[in-house]
Amino acid sequence: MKTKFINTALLVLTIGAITITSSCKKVLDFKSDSSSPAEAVFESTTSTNAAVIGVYNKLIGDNGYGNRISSLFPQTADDFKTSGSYSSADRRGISMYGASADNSDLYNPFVQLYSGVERANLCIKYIPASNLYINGSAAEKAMMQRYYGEALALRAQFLYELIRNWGDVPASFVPAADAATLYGPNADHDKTYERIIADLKTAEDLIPWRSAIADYGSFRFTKGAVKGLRARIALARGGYSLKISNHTMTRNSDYLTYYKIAFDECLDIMNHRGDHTLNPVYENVFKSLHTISRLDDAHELMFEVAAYGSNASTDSKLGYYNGVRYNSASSFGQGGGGINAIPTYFYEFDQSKDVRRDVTIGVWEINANSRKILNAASALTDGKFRKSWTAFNNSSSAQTFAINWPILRFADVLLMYAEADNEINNGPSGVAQAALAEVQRRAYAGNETSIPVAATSKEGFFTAIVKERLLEFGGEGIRKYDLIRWNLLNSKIIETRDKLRLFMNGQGAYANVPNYIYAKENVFLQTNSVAEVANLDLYPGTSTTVNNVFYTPGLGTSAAPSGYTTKNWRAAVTDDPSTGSISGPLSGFASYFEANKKEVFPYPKSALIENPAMVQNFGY
Amino acid sequence: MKRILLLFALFTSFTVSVYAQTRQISGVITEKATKAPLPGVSVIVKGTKNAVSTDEKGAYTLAIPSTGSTVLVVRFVGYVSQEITVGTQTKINLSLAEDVAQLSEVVVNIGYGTVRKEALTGSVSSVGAKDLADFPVGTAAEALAGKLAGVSVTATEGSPGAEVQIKVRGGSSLTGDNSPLYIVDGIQVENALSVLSPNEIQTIDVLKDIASTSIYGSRGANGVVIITTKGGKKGRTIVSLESYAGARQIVNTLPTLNPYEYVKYQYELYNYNTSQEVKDQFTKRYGTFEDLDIYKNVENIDWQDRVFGRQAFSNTQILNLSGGSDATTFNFTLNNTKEDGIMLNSGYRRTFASFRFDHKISEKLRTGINVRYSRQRIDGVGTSSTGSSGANRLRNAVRFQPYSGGGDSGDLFDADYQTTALTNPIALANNELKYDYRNDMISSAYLNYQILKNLSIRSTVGLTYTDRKTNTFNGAISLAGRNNGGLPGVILDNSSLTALINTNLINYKPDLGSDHSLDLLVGQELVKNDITSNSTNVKWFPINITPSEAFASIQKAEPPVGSVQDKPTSLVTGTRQLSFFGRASYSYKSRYLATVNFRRDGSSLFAPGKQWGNFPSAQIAWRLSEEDFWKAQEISWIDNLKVRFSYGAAGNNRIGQDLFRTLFTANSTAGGYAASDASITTGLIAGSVLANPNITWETNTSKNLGLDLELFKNRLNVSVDLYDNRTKDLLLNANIPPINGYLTQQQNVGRTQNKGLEIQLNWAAVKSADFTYNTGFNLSFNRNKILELQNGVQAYTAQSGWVNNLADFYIQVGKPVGQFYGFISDGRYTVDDFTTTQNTTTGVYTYTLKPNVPNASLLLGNRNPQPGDMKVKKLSSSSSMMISEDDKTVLGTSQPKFTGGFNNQFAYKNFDLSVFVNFSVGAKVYNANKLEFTSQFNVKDNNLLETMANRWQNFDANGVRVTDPATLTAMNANTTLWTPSLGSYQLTSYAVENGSYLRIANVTLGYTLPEKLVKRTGIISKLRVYATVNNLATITGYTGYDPEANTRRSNPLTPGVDYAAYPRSRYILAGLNLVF
Repeated sequence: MKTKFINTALLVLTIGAITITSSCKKVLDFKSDSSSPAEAVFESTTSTNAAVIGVYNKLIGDNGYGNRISSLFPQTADDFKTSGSYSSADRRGISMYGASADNSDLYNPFVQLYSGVERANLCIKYIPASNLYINGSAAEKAMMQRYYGEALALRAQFLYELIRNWGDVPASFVPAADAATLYGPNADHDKTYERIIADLKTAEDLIPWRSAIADYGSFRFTKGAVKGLRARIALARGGYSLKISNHTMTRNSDYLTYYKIAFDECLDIMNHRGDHTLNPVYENVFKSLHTISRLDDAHELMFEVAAYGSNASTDSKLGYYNGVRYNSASSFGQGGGGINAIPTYFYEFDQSKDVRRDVTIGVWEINANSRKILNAASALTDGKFRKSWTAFNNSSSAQTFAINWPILRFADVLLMYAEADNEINNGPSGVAQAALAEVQRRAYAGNETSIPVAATSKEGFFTAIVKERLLEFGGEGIRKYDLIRWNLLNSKIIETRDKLRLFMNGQGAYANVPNYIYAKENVFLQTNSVAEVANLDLYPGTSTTVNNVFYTPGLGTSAAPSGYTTKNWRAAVTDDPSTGSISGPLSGFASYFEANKKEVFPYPKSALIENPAMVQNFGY
Repeated sequence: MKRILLLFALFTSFTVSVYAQTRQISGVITEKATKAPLPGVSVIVKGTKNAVSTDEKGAYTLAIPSTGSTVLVVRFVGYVSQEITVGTQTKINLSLAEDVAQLSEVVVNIGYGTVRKEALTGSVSSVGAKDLADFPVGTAAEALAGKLAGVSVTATEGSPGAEVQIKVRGGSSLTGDNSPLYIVDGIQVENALSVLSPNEIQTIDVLKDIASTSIYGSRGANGVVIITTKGGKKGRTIVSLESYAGARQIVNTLPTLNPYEYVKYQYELYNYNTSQEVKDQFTKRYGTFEDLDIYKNVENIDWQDRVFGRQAFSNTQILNLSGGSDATTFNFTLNNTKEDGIMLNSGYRRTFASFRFDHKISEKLRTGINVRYSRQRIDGVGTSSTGSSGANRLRNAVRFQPYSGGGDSGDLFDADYQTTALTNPIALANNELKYDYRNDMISSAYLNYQILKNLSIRSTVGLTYTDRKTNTFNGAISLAGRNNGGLPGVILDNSSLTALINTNLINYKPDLGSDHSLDLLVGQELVKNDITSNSTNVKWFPINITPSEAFASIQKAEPPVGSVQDKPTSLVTGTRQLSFFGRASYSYKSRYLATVNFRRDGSSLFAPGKQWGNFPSAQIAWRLSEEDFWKAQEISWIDNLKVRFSYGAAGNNRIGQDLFRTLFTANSTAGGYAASDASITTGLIAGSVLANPNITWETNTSKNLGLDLELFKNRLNVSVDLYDNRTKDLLLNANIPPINGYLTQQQNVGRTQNKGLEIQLNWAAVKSADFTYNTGFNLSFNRNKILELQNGVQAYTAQSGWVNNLADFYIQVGKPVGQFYGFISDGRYTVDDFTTTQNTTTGVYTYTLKPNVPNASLLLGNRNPQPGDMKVKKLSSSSSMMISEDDKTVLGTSQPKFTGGFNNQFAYKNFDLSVFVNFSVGAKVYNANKLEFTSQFNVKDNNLLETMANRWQNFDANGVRVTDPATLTAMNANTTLWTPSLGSYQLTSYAVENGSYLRIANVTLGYTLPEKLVKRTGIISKLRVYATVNNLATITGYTGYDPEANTRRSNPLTPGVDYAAYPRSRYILAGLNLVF
């Protein structure tokens, strides 16, 4: 019995030892089923699609267009700024052009954008090399080509965002694992622009028009969106930018080549009206960003960054951080208020005819009683984002409302076309004038006769474009970058400060603007924005058209008539040396802006420490 | 040891011969010190084979020749033999004295085998059961603190079940895990000291030099802790019971401003350069300045006391059963602990059961089974978090307004959270709950076959199964709750680990004559680890759901319209390792000893071609005291003198899986996108660490020179070790530029060095019948140095991360790891640092900094300094007086100059007393708590540490802002501190404190009831009662809770930060040991 046991035990031992030793190599070859190698991922259209989805992921979230890049980076221009007072280390530092290199609101998006570039680079490397791409069926090839094109377009978008904010950023077009060095130096942004403009050409030939990929909608790149992005980047390449070598705003002599690219691309899109055209109702464009019941059959929204999922990575804080303010105690729950309109921006719009003013500027807020009341002039918000337009209308304090961010819409195509045409032809062609008028006609819906007369000179038409883009795109993160490529940022900042002083003093164009407006809360109609503003309960009451109150001196005293609350209007703007909102260091207008320097942000300190090959932007 | 005694006794009692013409002699042999009878003592008639051994009562009866002179030899292992000439007596009683020389014949486990201590060639520190038994502490790790030279044991914070960090000789890796390898009864067990009861440990041997650890090859680079548990003993079944209970209480709290001082401070904040609107907010919230005196009568609430102040009771019971027969021995231990944490809703429950069974199937074949089961539950979220300051819970207990009412009544929801970022700490403690359940099943079995007398094979199979479940409830006012619409949520994490270890050994000891001894060992080992985990994050429960309801029915959660729950996730990972190793130990005449090791390891963590590493080592030792020339000297007071030297290499591969290749994993948050309305499409993404196909083994080489001395009849043992450990090809999770799309990459870069000196003394100082005194003392010096960093980098900064983007550590070639990096505090700006101008109409003075004074606006939220603001020294040579990053310098390191322990055990008659002291000298502590709690940082309505009552004053007794330079200076003649900074936190020398301490870690007084008394009960054979104080007192100049805190430990580059650590407690307990 014992011997038998011993023999058995020994046998087991021997067999065990032999088995283990003979399968030596196999033993060490362990791979978890939780992950897949690239070779497997890119040999299936489904998983290739998932990999491309992974690239889109880097657009959204708190550090993407969900908050930082959309709501912080584009401040401040002559439309909006960040609320609150200055600190170099947070959003207010960015807004006042005084961000420090250790501002985490700069660092995190910087990291995210490069992470997007890397994810795109992986797709760009593996998709065209896959067997499916080369030898697949026609349908498979078409899908793989489309994914390839999307990856190219996404990489262009990430790099464009990096360049317009930091300038000569390092750019790598291969996955980091294949890169010659991990310590890439600054790259001439003109060269990078040229590369991605070429990439986008490749991409637009691979991706079908919107109507051919119905399930993409405007949440993924379609041909029109790629073309529009190419036009936008071409205009950036053809416009002014901060030349890092001599720290001067410079425009390259070959700029017309790029205006021509923009011209051609926009024209092509304008020739596909079945895919994209203007939405007849301005407000509906933005409502569509908020809800799943879309009101944009015209597909004016050509590409938007989609948000969903109630988390910091795939959802957005649009409408929570920025947008119309909803009191946390209201039935809507907390929302909005992080971005304020420059008071004079309100007066750039036509007094009553331009429907865009009441969509763009949140002149009212929703108070704790869930009723609407006028804001002080210093607390106007960006009205294109409203919690009340979302499905999240409850008192919860959730911070994510699944509001999408608009990257490109057809109105931009029209205006880019008009601008390029004017530049190339030394004056606007008829088509260019028609493109501008088309945008204006929608804005003046019902009041078309009041549309300002179109200029025909090159300068005049350009000025009209500058103005129109201010009115059309307010709060969409476009203005600052427009002003930079036109080299108008400095002059517009100075001009706006001057306007603010005139506003404060009730002079010039603001001679009849009231110092105080007296307001009462009243019912929140939740109809269209123009009607909402017209319905505000302002002193002296229903006998007066609301719009006239903004243009009438009124009582001029801080004491409100009975039943009304005083809202500081002109009085909201002060020029106190420390706390003033014009040039004060705490909450002034673009107080730390310096021309030929602050057009770009400082590189995040951590990024420089790790990379001795990179040089900090001038002045930081 | 005792087992050997018994065997010997058994052996000597075999032969009894009977002679003719004999008479009987009898007697009792007792122990000299205790007077206890000694069973098993050999009594021999000298020069004959006539011998007997004493029975259980120490009695013997022996037949001796009735005539002639007879000499009796009385021998017992561990005692000094005696010879006595028998005269005419028929009864001879003798008492034997303990032989210290023989007792020191300790066997040391050196991995896959044991050697006698004098044959040891490596550097090994050991602790025996006796040293551990005196410490009624929950886990063996706590009992080890300060006992072993070169082994640092740090309790990271005071929470129940807190991680105990053990480092051998400083640890070698820069960013990897530095914890040693644990081998329990031959089986590798992760974090073994926390799943073992101190009572079941027979010995702990810590292999310190690489040459010793290299038999374990990989993973041995950070030292090997070999734990041998108690086996059963042949004989009657012994049942023992130990039970103790006591209470913990917080040792100290951080004093904060009282309500009046707090409100006065708020007044300053609301009225210093602010708009009327802000000033009005103050009046609305706190009242007018004239009314502030009311706050002098408001009850001061010490929130720390409310949250951590309770008497936390705990109790432990340990039951032990052991026994056996000739063929079979067993040992069973059951250990049950229930403990409350001092923080509300925190606590700890644990039940261990272990069973060890050894069986001799035949003379040649032995087998054994060891099964251990541990079930534990840790309650409480603790205070710190690896996240940044946003997740700090301690803050609420320190900074929340020091009275109830006002802006917050302490009710469920804190309405002011948005502005203060503070929550009522009690409400929060009841709102964030965490239950961490862990079940460990550690089992092993071996089969040992003695093929020949000197050839054996042994196969061991170990199976470890760990099941862990963490249920977290985040209530409405928790940070997570607030981020999810103010609705509760739960996180359910499950993970399980299955580890299979198979070791096969062949041991051969050829017979080479009496002068030579050779011990050969070859072996092969396979380690398979498989880990599966899954996690479910369920948000949006109804607001008033209870935690237990939420855990019981997660389906009650209802996402708000337009929201979607996160997808549950699951993950499978694992590692494989295959090793071959051999060892040859040779000794010549016990004088010259040599050991050669070789180990070859293959790991699945590296790419094919990089998988294998070879780790050789050698040790030599020379026992001078065995030399003839030495013996000739007759230096009687030196019993043993040995010199050792070793040199060897070991590998380390403690990195994550698949870091050598780019793999894609599915992720709905980090890779998801809302590609269509109201849905999330899961994406496939590469990992967050850039793949590096070239990574391979990290290699640690070490030189060790040691000296072992035994003096004065072995009453004094001295061991001295000098070592120099160098690690190359460090497996560093190196920072890479973010432009690559990743923040880090695993690389083999850089080199580090640890060199040091260890001294260990054990002294049996007094040994008499009534009084004994044993003392142990150890002292360790370790110097850590970075020799090389990645990519030729000379230095870079690292972030401990308690506050975002603060580069507060400096990693520098030629310097130790863990250098604090910041500004040198220069007090504050005084009026003299400014030029003043007076506004002619308002009379207000404005202050402009003089051009030659450093401008610290970087630390002040980018505002220009004003009198009273914090000032730092300008160190850079740049012409600009603006303080910048260039003015930062190294402020100290957390590395102590030396550490040690001092252990004293006294016994007087039936009383025993042990006092254990450990100390650390020369380390600095980075008191991040102090930084945060003395700053304003953009937020109002936050309290400060009491020291800040001594801050610069800008407001006079009437609440009027003073700007006149002379008045301002006069007002501040007696204040010393600066205005709480409103800039983001910056490390200054103010927060770097001396962390030297001397801790009376444990004092135990015990009394063993007289045996006579106990015996009367008939069932009890031993009864001891005792009282203990753990963490009795700490002598330190440190101003925080405890100088030993280390809360930013997820990154080994940032040690010594005291941030939001769970406060320490003092534990007073009483207990009894009962042996049946």
